[in-house]
Amino acid sequence: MTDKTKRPLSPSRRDVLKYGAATGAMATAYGLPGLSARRAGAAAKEFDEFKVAFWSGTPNLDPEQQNIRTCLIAEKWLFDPLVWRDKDTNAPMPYLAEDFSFIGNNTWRFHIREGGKFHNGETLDAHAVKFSLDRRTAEATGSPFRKSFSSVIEGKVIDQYTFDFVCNSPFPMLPAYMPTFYIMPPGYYGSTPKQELALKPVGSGPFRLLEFKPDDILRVERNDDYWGQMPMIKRVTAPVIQEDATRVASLLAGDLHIAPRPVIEDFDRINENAGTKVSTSIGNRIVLAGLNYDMEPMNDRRVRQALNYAVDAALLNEVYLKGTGEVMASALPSTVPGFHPGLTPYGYDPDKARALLKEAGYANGFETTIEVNPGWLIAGTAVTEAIANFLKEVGIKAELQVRDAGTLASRITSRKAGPIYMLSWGVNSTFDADSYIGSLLDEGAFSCNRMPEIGKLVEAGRQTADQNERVEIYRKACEIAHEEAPWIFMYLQPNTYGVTTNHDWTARPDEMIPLYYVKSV
Amino acid sequence: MAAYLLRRLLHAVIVIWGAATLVFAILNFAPGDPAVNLVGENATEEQFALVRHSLGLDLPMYERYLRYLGNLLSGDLGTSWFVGQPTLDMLAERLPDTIELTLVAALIFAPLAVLLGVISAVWRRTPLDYGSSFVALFGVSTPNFWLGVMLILLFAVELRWLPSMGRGPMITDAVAALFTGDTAPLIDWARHIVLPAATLGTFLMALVTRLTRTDILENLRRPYVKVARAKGMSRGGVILHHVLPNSLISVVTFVGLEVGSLLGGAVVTETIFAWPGMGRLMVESIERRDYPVIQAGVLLVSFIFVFVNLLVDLVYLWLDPRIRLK
Amino acid sequence: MSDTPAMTTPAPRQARPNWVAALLRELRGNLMAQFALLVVAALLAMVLFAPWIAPHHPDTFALIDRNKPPAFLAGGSWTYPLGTDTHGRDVLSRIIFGARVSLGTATAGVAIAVTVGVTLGLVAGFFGGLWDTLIMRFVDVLLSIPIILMALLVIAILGPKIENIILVMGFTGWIWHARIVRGNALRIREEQFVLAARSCGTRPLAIMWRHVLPNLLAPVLVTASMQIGYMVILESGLSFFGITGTTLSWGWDIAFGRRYLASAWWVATFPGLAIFLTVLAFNLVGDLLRDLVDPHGRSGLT
Repeated sequence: MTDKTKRPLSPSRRDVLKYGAATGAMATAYGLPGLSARRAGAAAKEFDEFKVAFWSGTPNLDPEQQNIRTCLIAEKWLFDPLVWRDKDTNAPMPYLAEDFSFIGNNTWRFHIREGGKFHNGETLDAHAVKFSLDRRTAEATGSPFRKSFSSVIEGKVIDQYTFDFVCNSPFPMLPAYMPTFYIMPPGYYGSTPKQELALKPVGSGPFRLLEFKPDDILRVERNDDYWGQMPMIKRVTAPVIQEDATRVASLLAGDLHIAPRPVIEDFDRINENAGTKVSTSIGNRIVLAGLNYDMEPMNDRRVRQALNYAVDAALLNEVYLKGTGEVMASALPSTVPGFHPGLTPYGYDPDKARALLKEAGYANGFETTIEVNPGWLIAGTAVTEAIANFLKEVGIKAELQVRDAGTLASRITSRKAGPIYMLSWGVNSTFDADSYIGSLLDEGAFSCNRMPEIGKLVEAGRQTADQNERVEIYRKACEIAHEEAPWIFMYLQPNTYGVTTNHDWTARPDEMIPLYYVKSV
Repeated sequence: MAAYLLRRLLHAVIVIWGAATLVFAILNFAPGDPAVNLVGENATEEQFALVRHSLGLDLPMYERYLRYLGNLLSGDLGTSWFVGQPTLDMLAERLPDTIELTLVAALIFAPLAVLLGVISAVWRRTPLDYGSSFVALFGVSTPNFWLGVMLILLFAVELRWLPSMGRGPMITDAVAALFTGDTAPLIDWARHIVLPAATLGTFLMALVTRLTRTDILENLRRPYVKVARAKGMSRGGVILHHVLPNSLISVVTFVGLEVGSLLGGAVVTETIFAWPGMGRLMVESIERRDYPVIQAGVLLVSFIFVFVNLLVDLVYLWLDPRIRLK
Repeated sequence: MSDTPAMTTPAPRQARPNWVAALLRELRGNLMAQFALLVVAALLAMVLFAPWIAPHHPDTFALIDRNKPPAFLAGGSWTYPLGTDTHGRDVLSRIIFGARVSLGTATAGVAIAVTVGVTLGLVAGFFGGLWDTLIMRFVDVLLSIPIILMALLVIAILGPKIENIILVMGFTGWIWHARIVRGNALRIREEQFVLAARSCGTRPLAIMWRHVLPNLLAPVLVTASMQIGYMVILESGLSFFGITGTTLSWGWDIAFGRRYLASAWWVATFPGLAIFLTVLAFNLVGDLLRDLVDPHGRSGLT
């Protein structure tokens, strides 16, 4: 196929005016500096076809039927959320909602911008938001996001463009959950059978659906009536390429603009190749080796700490991530408020590990199992084998068990996984401490440990809307977690992409690939 | 001849029924609870309920089997646990792409293999023979996923002659465009299908080359060849007019029998090249343990195999007059 | 001639067994066959003497030396002749130790296939009638399902353990043998000596054991040797899907290493080469055996 990016279209005068107008309007709405200056630059080349590969299947494009990362990325092209994340600061920024605030009485108020329209012509207003909320929280829908919205009692339409989330507590995490709350047109989603909704999404986003073959390929085209920043891309083609080597080869051959998750070993090759480079960013996905308190000897704190001293997380980061990750000392990564900067990670100290094991009565080590789904973390198999090797050196014989995603997930939630299990946790990019600590420790859904003090702190964190107070609460939790060592602390994983050098998209902390602001260079 | 046809038809039906029963037996007679085997012990209650209902595990074995057969006969091959669509629809949508790839692989590499086989046989035990044998053996000795990736690295990345993945326009569109004088779609189609077809076809080529070689050597020893030579026919003539047609029958029969392994090979090839066929769906389903799709895929492949071999038998009938006269 | 005292005839020289002579005759000038036997010998050595031949332990991590290229490329060293993988493990050592698993699994699978196949083939060919029909229909059914799909289906249900993989190999591979054995059994059944034995009232089992089986040994051996190669490839194919019962085998290394084919290509390529040579060798050995045993193709061994 011809590489159309090498022969960009020269925009007509009308296009320039259209883009100019759009960026101008956005400048006032967002107060972003320099955009009017960029009006002249908007005459820059646009992409006829922009190609992004998905590294795993995209079976379903209904936002309430799954929470698969690849589908979330695709849905962002087609739908809009109320709140989005700034690409540089990662902070929540207004999107469909012009502003939002906590107005007391356990209520959050959102003001929705006017004039928005869905691809099928329906109006985008507070009624659409109410419909979307009701659809998400309805039991019949079976949305995987339902639980995270369980604190919301109801959504109230105050007027056509004002909407209230009435909750049963201050629910301070609400803004963090907004980027994955896509707004849907009530008419279409209220009257179409579920099976068809999976195949034919309709939103208000910068692109509209052209063609969707589940798990194969997705094609979208620019929505020329978009209310927001008009993309400089006419069409996006997103094939699913599961084979790592093929994905990288496609990038190198010039058949892709963005190739997510290239194999780390290929970084050098991608950087050396003319026209491509690697783009990484640390983000939200932490990697840990969970320890199951219900399985001996993981109930002994000395053993757990020994494991942390036995595994050299810094070396693993150096070797398997080329140093692009960030070693963690406790339960939260540095990108999440509540992170405790004063804690030092467990270092590599096999002697101390052996001493602790001896103290706990395991001078001769013991046998254990590590369960892993390799697809959950970068170099999953390699890293797990390396951990097993570290353990071997202090006398612990660890057998690897590879499991598929569904099986391992249910084993973890039913506390049967382990005694050691590998987990990566990105939580739909909420960057909220509660999503990590609340789910991974004590009574959390994906926890195999017990720490009642932390349970209390989690509750406290949910009851106050004061973000500073919450930061204090979670710092305390991090201190306790560091001491108790419910996991083998590992690292914050980078989000890695191979990109061509003819556009300006760079890796984002939130693992998403929005394309509306991509420009050619 | 009608009797022959009828017998073949009956045979085909029995084989399909046998395949369906085998799949049923494997699932239901394997040690352990089939539901637990498929989704693991720690699935949620809802998942278990879904699986039990879908497989009919709450029914006694006898009823389960009848329900299963009944569903198959009415064309219901179950619904995907993951994607939520009927498996037959999902597979049918992707089937043409797989058939296209398989046909191209077979149609290009089978004749090539026959040629190599002829060369091998005619110049037996010379470097040409060894060379052809080596090329043929290469195909059957390399894991095809390794070969696929190497081809991509060579032709798409290093040489930039061919695209690295995906498919071009549909063959129907490409041919239609030809009539308007536009060759670009056809070229695009060809460029996209070459590497995956080669990966898929090398295996077939290996087997067909050997088969042809052996068959020709066999035939060369037969009395009728001696007679033809005695009558003054040249060696080449004998091979072309007498031996080759006979050997072709063997080849066609053989290719029919190998449809199964071709489709099996397509599973891996499609994954490597991101070819949107049935094979890729199978791989995803296996990874997700989407059993209804796996089962439907196996049954569909079996059906295709039987169907193709029935066709082969009909061609056989037409080629070999001895059977027609029975 | 002259009246010599009775000459003691020299003790008869031990006659070289027929097949050795035939083998040497076939080998002479046949470079491919010689090469094949060499490879098989090397494989045997690897399986038996791995700990002594391999330069390193296959599971030793040496993170400093990870992803080193083979010795003959820039950056490589002779400490790791074929390079190292992502953990710094020596590729050559992994190939040598991996032979045990890959060949062992394949051989075990073929052994089961032969046992089942010969038994069923004999029953079908010798007893004929209903047995024949049933067994041959079963063969047709199995033929209609690609082995890889069958393997994936079975293992999805039974679990990815080595025993299950071997079982699948055995219970799909037997059809090759059954067909050949059946064909031969049908033919031999009508031979004079068998008819004679039957008319004497010898029990069918005894006839099969004493008369039919020895004649089948050779063709079965030929097919079995080729099948080993096929099973080695099947094992690597299953590893492609992540279905493996081991973390040390050629198939596993290829499946694991294929992600790095664009940069650290040696990790997957050399095990692939090992598989290639193995399959090639076994196929050639099979050819050789067939030329020895059945040069006129009477046993239907095409």
